[in-house]
Amino acid sequence: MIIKKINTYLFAAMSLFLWVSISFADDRLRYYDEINPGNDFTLTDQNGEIFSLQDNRGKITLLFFGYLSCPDVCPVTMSKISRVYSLLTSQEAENIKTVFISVDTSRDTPEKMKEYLEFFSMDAVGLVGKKQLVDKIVADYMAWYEEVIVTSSLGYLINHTSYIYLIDQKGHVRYLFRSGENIKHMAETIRVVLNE
Amino acid sequence: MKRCSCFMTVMFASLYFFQIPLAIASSELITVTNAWVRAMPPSFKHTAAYLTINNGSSEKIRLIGVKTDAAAVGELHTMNLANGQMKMKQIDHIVVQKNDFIDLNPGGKHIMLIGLNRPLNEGDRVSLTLIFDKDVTKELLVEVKKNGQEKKESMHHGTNMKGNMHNDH
Repeated sequence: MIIKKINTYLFAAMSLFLWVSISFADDRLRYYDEINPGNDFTLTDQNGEIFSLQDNRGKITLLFFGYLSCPDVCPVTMSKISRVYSLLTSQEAENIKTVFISVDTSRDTPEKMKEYLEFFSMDAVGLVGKKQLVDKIVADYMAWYEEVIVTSSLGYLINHTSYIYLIDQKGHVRYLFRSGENIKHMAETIRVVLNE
Repeated sequence: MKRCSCFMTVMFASLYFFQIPLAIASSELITVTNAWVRAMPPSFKHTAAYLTINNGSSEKIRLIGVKTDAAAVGELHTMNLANGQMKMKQIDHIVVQKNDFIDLNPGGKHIMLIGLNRPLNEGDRVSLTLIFDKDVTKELLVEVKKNGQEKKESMHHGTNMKGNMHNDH
């Protein structure tokens, strides 16, 4: 009788373990070795200073591409990241840096980037650079952007990659957060990498 | 001829008897809620406006234009976010089906205000005129906010933002 009871508990525990394993198994969390194998890049930040990804070794980087003239998706991305931060402890948050690379090499400058980040109260690194440099980084991250001339008064729009790249403490890309990603899932994934 | 007039009489009598509503689109039956304009840094010349259009009429309507006192041009845009790509494009109208509503949200269909003629600070009011087909227009006074819908969502969470982005004021 006792053995039967133990077996029942054991089975319940194993089922629970399996359910937890399946629930948390996420094959998207892996090493994306094909993305920027050099694990580095260098551009100019919003203060006019040189920033290299290597400067952020030991911390997690959340990297995204965008541009300043579009007031729709980039503020949404920033807001989303801020909500992810709000789910983390202050100690965890201190070990994460957000990096925003502008793909609008004609219009965006360090001054404009600084104004933008300060306005939205973002303690993030905003990077700008010459087209040749930005294009290389975009290619290294297997990202994409295109300028689209439209009849719009905006002159041109820029369509671009919408992923937020999770880069680990050694510079390896480990996860590509999609635009519809749940913020709790994002925070949990970051926490897994932080605790490695 | 007699048969025809008979038919007409029956038809009008039916309309009267059954009180069939003919809610033709008008500015009273088109209502707008949740409207806000995104505040942008002073030197930036573009921003976006978001709102919900409720069509209480029994015919579909099209939003075909926007005018504002704050910018040279108002345009309708849509955003397609799929396969890791963000694609925005200008569109010439937005349809609201009869007795239905449509949300213009960040990351989706929205109104672009291009060529701002003054800095828009949080709390300012911007006049928007929504132009629909069927000769319907809607005048609005819309508040400028740093975040609209996004703020509501983030208020449910704590504010452990040290050293990081902080959009939620």
